[in-house]
Amino acid sequence: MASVTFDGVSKVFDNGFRAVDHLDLQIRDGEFMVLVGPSGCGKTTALRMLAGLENISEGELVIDDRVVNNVAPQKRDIAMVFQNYALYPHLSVYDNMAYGLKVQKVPKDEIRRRVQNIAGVIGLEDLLDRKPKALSGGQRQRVAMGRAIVREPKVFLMDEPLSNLDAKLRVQMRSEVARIQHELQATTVYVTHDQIEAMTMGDRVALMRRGVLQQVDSPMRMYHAPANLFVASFIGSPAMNLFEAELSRRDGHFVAQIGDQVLRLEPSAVADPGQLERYVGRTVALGVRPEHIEDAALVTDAPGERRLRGVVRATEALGSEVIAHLELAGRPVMTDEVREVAADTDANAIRELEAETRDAKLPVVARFDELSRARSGQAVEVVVDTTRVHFFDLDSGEAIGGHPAGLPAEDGAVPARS
Amino acid sequence: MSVVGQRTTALPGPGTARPARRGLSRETRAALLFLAPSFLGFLVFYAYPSIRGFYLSFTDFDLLRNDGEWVGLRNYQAMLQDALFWNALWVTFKYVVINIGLQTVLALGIAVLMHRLTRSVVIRGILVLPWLIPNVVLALLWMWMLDPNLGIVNHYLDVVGIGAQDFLGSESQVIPTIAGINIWRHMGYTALLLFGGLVMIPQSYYEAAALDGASEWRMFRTITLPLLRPVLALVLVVTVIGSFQVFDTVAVATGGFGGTPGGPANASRVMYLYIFQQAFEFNALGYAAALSVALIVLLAAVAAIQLRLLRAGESDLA
Repeated sequence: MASVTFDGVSKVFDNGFRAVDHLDLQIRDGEFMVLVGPSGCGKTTALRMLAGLENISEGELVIDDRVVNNVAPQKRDIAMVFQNYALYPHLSVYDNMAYGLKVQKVPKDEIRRRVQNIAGVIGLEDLLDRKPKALSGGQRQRVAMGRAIVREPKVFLMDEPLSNLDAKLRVQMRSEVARIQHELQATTVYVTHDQIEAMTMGDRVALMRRGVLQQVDSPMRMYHAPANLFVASFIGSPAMNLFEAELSRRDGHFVAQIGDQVLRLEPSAVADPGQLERYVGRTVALGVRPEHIEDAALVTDAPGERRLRGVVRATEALGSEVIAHLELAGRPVMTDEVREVAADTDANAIRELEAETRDAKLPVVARFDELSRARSGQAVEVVVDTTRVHFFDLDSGEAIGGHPAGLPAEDGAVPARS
Repeated sequence: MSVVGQRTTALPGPGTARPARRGLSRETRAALLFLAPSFLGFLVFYAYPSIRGFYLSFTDFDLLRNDGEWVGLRNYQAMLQDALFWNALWVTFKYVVINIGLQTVLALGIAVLMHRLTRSVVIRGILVLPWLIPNVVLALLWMWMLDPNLGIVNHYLDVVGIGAQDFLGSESQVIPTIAGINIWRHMGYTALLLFGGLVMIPQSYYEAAALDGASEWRMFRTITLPLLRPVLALVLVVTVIGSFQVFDTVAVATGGFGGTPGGPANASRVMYLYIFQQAFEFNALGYAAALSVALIVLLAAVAAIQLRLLRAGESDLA
């Protein structure tokens, strides 16, 4: 096993396109690192540079204290699981798994022992004689994993390995891949565009945008302490609500003006309230996670300064909770970051969002308690947990004031659901 | 055709309340009409001559008399005892083995190099240039270049000290020389056909193999060759059949400067040349037809065996 360091690594393609821009990233020995981001963010290029399948334009790539920029993929001792699995179609499952070992001239009975051992671990014993064509998608995925594992390489690379599976199998394989990685204690770099995979599988998550690394952190830190607007809007499902809000001081308190309503803020929401001071009189992006907005009918003791009025547009009762789609008077945040994330999820979403901005309608998603009686078309009053809101500079996109220490890091809250 | 028919039954056009007469719709008849010229050509220039050739092989048809009698299997019996026939077969066989062996290896090499190194359309274009030269022109060109006294090739062989060779005039060199000329002409074209097969092999197999530690040579053996098999089989069948039919290069290149086509002696008298000579020099059209039938049977057998051995119908891709 090994550590991996990207030291100012860039990839510039022949047409001048900078796919990866000065990537600095340390991956520790045995760590499960997830590279995540929308399509075209450079995550796959970064992975392919690590594999040796793409040349490195600038910077140094180090595996275990050895600069590997000019080392051929054959010599890097890396195994990769490809998005389309790339199983050799003319070879049996056994021969697919044995291929790398044969190349390394491992003795025949040693190969047999290792392949059968791994086949047992991932449940392929009965399929060893089959050709890939005769396997289901899930089985092929396992063979691809097995082929990588059996080599016992220094580093595992996985390029969206679950994206070709159906939703149910994907959830199942998610935990299985994480379990196998944990058992092997293998340094793993996992590329995905799915933030749910990133949140549930990684020891740490590296989020990229347009070739630039945005934040590297544990999944919980990514969720609760996003470094900028892009991280905030990319991580979490349903996504964080982002309002344009004008900051001011009233009676010694920070308040945020959202449309024609005023919300009283808590200085404890940020690590350094002093920084908020500098934004008084200016418009910022105010971020609120859906679970921090509750139906006011259920929180009768909440003070009026923490309440907002709106209209329910639709509800989804999930039994355990009610996802409420609300509309407030106000302006949604429409920076490049938000557009990009919206466009990545759904081409229509961006157009709807733009239309709503023109009409000064602010779409808000809230996760109400299951007891909520909110129904579509009704006026509703909601309570915002103002100790848990986020502030971002509208120009730079950076988080304002930092995030308070002692976050509910491993409190069992499930931040993302499929 | 059935699709066309179905559509018409399902959607009768305006004014066609009844189905068209004799069950043929207007569209079907139009389609047949369009097919007719090529079908006619097939009948006149292909089917009829084939059947007539087959019939002639049982006659002693003579071109001068323009007539022949039914002789049953006599032509075939004569063929089995004809030393020149066996010689022609042997010479053709030598030619095919040299030509196909070298050409396939060279073409495969070129195709793999192109696949792994370049996608340049210019290089692809240059590769097929020799193939665009008419055979007779090509044969004349090489005949001049290889001439023992005047040819540029021998001039340079002399310069480097190897000494002039009697390429087309030597019994041992004539078939390899003819094969060489045709290899030069067809190699690029064959390479392009194989290249077409190579680009269908997904790049990710090579990437996976590279990460598995495989060298280029191992990738070629364990990935390229097995996955190229169906295309290779087809290319082999086509080129083998093509080279059994070698004629014009031999006829022109060995016939120049007072030589006899097929010479020296009988060293380059290939099957096609022998058939031609029997028919149009000795006027024994019946016997020539029998030789042609023998060649057809032989080619069919060779093709069938090749396709079978190479499992041409199955692909591991997709």
